[in-house]
Amino acid sequence: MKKMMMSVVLGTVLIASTVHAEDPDNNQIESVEEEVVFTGEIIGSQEEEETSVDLELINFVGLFQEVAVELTADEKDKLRLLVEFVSQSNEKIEVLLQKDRFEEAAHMLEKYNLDIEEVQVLLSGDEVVSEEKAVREVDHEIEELEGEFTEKTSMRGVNLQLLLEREDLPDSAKAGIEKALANQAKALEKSQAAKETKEERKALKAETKASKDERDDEEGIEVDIEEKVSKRIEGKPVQKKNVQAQKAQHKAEQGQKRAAEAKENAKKSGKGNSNNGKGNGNKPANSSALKK
Amino acid sequence: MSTTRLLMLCIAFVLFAVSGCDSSQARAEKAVFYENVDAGMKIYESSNWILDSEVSSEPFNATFKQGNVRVIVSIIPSVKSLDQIKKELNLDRGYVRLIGETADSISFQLNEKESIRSDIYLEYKNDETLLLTFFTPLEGYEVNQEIMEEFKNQIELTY
Repeated sequence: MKKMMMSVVLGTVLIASTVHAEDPDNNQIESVEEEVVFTGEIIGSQEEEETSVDLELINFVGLFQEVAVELTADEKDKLRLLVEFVSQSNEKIEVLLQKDRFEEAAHMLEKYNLDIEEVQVLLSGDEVVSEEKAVREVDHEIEELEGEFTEKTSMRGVNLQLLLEREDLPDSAKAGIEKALANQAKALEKSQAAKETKEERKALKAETKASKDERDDEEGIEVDIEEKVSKRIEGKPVQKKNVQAQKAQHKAEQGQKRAAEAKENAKKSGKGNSNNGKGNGNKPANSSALKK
Repeated sequence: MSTTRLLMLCIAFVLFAVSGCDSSQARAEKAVFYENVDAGMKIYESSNWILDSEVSSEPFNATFKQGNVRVIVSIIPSVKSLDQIKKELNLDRGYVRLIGETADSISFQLNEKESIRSDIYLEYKNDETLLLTFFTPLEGYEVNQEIMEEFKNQIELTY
């Protein structure tokens, strides 16, 4: 009995001493580990605050956006939602690409590109409408959305062109990035065209006013405007759209006559405000396209 | 002695079998309108819901509809908090107008003019998240509320 007691006490002391001896080392290791974990957490939370991409929720988010857009009947609301979603995806894709999470990026790029195409369809549809209404009605909100859209699809944080040259880029991501680049170029071209149209409209309005002051002949004014429009449009033939060109061809004959008249009228009126060097009024087809 | 024990065991077994039979019968009465074994979920028949589209299987995402109510059913293989869902949907970016929020649900309005209302409900089972996202017109929401409530009660996670 005594022997057992002794061995128990001895054992306890022995164990306690070894634990004690190891303690300082342990403590040090633990504290170091804690520090590492802690800094890790800080970095993690910072990144999360910026933009989070949860792989398990990518499909859900995509579906949520799809249903939301689908259920929205009003075109402007639709456009607004789509631009918002494109901008959200844009940020997330940027983060994914920066972290080399290519598979997930490719997955998101698919929907992203589809959304962009839908926005472009909606915007071009609107353009036809507003052009039909000619100078009078310009939807500022849509112009704003268009500008926002161009800005939000630019992906400043990632050089897509450089990414394409990387060897470890999976094919799926490559295809998505190529498409995104093509869409970016399209959007940029469009926004420049829109900017010019906007400026032209402004100039046109001012001129119309001026010519109204000068003359009372209403017909003369109409033809005058027409001619000026045709001159301006000719100045940027690259940005013309196919639809417009087709439309223009149909009306070419009619337009030519009108333009001839317009030219004469313009000479008669002798105004010098069409001398901005943009064109010579020989392409009258567009004038009718823009008017109709 | 041993015979009584055997008898008792027999009785117990019979009882067990009968009760098992009973419960399976009760289940059979409730018709299943949609089942996905891989995702581990069943939806029992209720007022005229139909499958709209099965979008993905891992994780499971599908949409169902009834009249002008649409629902996204998502089964996420881990526990997701409402905050995580909100963050992923970027609900703080001002494209929605918050209507209400509880610990496991959030309601908001989507469009200014048309007023589409969305209600998101979260349920947890065995470290999985069942995520139900309803879309309804704001007008006539009270009527649709019953339909949504019913749908919620008809879903069973079997995994």
